Amino acid sequence: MKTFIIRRLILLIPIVFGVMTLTFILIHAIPGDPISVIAGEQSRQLTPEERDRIAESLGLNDPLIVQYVRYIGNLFRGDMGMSIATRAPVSYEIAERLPDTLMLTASSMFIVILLSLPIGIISALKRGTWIDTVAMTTALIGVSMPAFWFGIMLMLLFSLTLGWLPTVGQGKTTIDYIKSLILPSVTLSMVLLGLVTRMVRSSMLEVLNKDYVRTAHAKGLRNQFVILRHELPNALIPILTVITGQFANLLGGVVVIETVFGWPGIGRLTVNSVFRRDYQVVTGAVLIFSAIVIIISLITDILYSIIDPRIRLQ
Amino acid sequence: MAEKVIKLNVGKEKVAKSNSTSLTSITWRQIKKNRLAILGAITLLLLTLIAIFAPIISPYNPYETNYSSVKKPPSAEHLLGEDELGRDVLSRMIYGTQISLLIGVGVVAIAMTIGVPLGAIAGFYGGISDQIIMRIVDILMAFPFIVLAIAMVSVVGPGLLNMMLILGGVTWIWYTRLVRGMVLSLREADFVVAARALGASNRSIIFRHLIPNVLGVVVVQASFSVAEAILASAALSYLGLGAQPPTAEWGAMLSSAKEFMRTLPVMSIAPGIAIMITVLAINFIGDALRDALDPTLRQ
Amino acid sequence: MKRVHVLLFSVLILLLGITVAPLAAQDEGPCPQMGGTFTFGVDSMIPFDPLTSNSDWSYYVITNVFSMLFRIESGQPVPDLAESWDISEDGTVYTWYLRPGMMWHDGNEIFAEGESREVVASDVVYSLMRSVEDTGSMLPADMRQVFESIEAVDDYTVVLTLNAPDAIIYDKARGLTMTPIIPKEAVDFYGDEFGLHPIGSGPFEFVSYSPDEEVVLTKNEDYFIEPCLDSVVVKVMPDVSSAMIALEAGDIDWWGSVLPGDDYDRFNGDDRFQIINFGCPVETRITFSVNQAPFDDVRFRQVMAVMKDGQAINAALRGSTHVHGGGTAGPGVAGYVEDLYDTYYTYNPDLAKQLLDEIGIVDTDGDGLREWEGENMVIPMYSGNSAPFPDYVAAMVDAAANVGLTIEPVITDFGTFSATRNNGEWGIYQEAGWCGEGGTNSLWGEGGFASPLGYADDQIFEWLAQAAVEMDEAAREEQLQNATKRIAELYWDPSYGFFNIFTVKRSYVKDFFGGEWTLNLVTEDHNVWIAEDER
Repeated sequence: MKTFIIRRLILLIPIVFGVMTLTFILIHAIPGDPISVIAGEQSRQLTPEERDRIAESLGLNDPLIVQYVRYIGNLFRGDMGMSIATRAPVSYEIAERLPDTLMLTASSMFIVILLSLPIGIISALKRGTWIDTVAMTTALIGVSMPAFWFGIMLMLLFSLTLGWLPTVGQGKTTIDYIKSLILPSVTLSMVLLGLVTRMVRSSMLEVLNKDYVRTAHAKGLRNQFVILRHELPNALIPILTVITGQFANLLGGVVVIETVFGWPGIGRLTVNSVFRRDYQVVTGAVLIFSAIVIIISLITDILYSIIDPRIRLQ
Repeated sequence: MAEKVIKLNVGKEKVAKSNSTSLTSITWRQIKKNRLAILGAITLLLLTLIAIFAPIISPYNPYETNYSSVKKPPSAEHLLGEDELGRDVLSRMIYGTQISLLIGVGVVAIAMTIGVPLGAIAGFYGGISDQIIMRIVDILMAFPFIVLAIAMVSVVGPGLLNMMLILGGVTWIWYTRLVRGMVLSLREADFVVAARALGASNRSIIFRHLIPNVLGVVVVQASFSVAEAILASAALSYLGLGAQPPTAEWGAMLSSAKEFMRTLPVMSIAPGIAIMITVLAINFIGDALRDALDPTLRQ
Repeated sequence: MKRVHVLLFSVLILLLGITVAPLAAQDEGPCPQMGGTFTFGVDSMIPFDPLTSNSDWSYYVITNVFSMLFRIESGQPVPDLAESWDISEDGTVYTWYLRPGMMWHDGNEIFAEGESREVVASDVVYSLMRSVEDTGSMLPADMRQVFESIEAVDDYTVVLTLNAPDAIIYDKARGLTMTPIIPKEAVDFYGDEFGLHPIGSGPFEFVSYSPDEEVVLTKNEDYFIEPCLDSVVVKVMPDVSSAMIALEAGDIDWWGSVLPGDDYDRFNGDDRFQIINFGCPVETRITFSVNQAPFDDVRFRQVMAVMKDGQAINAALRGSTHVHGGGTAGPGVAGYVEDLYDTYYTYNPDLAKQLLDEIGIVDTDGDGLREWEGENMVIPMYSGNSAPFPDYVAAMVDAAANVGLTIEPVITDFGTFSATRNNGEWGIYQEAGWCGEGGTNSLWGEGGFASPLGYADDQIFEWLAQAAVEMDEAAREEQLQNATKRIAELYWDPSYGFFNIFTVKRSYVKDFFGGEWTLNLVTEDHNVWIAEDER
């Protein structure tokens, strides 16, 4: 196990390196330069000399390969560089936002678990009935809507019409914070709800189809809930691993939702920085993002092997 | 998204067994028992018909502007009202069916064309080719998918075709991982050994024997991906990188109607509901296919 | 939304060489209601170093945290750090008399509580020199060009010398004279991160900043006028639709970015809201790479002007905020020519077709599409992707189709758009966002914003350059009108027309003066307060 983890951690390095290089190439391949964008946001005309002077001061005039080597060198010293738009360190920009994004994804996970278990179990128990149909349709409806539209619909209903929840931004006190977290996390949880409910349902069906369960049923142990109580934990473990495996997917889904709800997260930062050609912020944010994804997938793999010893870690 | 579900099954080597039966023998009985699948199939059929006959059933030209009558609520002449340039919303919805379905199917076709052979090659040959392919997959997997799509759209420029190429170009990895896993477990299966004994080339083993055997699971993944591609194109439209105006595409219509959400709700509700119904229908079908493929769920 | 150059008439007075005596300090009467928090939303914000901050909306914070020599209100200069000032008759020497007793904000890492120091002339010199000299400064070239020297005569007197009078492009002088005044100690201490710890001497002290989320300011009791408000909170709301819901739900009191056209009508009829005009109509126009065929032919540019029903399109997309007119300067702006639209831009598809026939772009194979250089003519149209620009493009596609031309939209984010434009790619560009005489000059002047697309006409350059130093108002107006007319004659600017831009506030926010891209919450004339009982 130990060697497996070490091996995987070593493997992480080339992947992160690859991600970083690809990001670096992609972001520089996009037409446009940060200085024109920043000046343009202000409709200021910069003469070519002006642009050149600012570019020089930011080190943007050096050949790409020089910038790349310098970036890697700084990275090894723990310096992720500076944002061109805000002149703040990239590590500051990321550190300010990462906890917010993690909070949002974690609370969406919580909502997914909270909703998918009952819906999935009920629809498995009532398989083929109209209850099954209604339950599964409910679980799928959220994922079938474009997230930004669904989010605004929720906001119209719960914030404007009913006045229960705040609209945009983050609450300051604990209670306000939780309130402001509800709408974005519900919207985000829809990304996964359909998938996880489906998983719960089929795991349950698997359990219900097992011979001894059928036998018990045949013997007159009519209450399936009794069986469920014993079997549920076993059925849940693969579901949980699937959920952790979907963490990356959730992180991807935050871009739009953070924008709609004004949530100060890393997804919004990344996309805005792509638009601003803020090279080092994009590279840094993607780097952190992919490291999280890789580490979570490592944890998932370890979980798998613990649950199912047949899967050997090699 | 569904990739993980199937991967789990692969881990348990169930799919491999079930796959000795081909896609065609996935029992029609199985699917037809599933109410939702029937509903999904009928809906999708209807949408396809709408798409095909758009020029006939559409009451107006979806691109014809009329500045003397803009932002109008539904009326007898314009059942879904008129948009900010005085175009008939219903006609645009009808034409939008063509484009949204095209995006969904196009993206998946591109992704499968790249992903399936690569996965089969990686799984079948192993070694260096496996290493190279899977490292690329690992890198792309670790990327935030939407950020990758945004960056690539910015590099190659906007447009429907480019958007399809890019969405296909970032999602092929799902198929590669899926197919590789299954091919890996089928590589030593009896029918492969037999084919090899009969002198079949590697190429023919991959394309004649292995790929047809994994196609069932791939189709399930594909059905979910069609739904996702439609949603992803809407997300790109929201970020201002989607289909180019004046193209009548649902995602683009939805995001431009956002501005009129309060004054003219029907303009955003119509494409929103249309996307929802389409994605839901496709998901129902995908679910049914998956259930039908999973032997433990057969009764 | 781009920065719009608004500050006009004040400038005339200022730069005609008339010494504007600052208004006598008004009674600092008690506020009708003290206290409360003013919360407003903007769509983006970045840190607050005046040197590098490029975001218009960051200026809402910068102008309240820092004091400047003077502020602009309703087009009039009002004193701030400078109590009064003189301008030499030739318009090149500005003498500023500073207000004694202005203190830097205290209770921070630089100045401990109660241990602040006075803002003096050398601070003004430092702040201006920093923005002129720093290599990373966003201060544009034309502002540097006009700068000659700055000198602290004594602790309370600063003399700024320009190398040319600055009549029309008040922008240049503004960049210098409206530089926020910052303490050198703080910049030395924080370095690049000064923007995260802004310390100034303005009416509000900086409390906290969460990127992409909010900024909190609290009142500076030592300011020479005590602010009525206790605190100010700025919330960042990147999605305009949700921001409008937030405004309606009462989560914010003012929306500081620009109000979308459709919401204008909705809020306009509602007592709970008041709409504030920014004061200068913004032009919407198309441009092209003029030295490339066929755009080098004035007739072809005229086709672009008359093939579309600009006013109808603009009215459809901008609703009630649309203003009739065409050309570079809108109604109320120096250089405005009233009949410009009717003379040059009136919708006339038949004329467009006739001109195309004359040029030789005709349909020879009978497919309804005109050919150019042997192929069906397909013109790319470049545009940014923020609403409603894509709709303007859609309207142009339709208009072009009616005269047998095909327009192919290329709608991208602003970065790609500006790169395409800087490269002068062949095609049509959708543009908007300039207003006023500063806009006319920045766009069409020599080396101006339109120059990468090949716009160059010596006559226009001359008129604009003369107007820039012409101190006689009537003479300057004539030169500007000449330039505007010539721009129209050359069909440099097939415009759709103008639209006014607005923000909206809740009615319970009182004595509010918003607009003109800076936000003055506390001046001698205005001191914003909140009627809590009406909330």
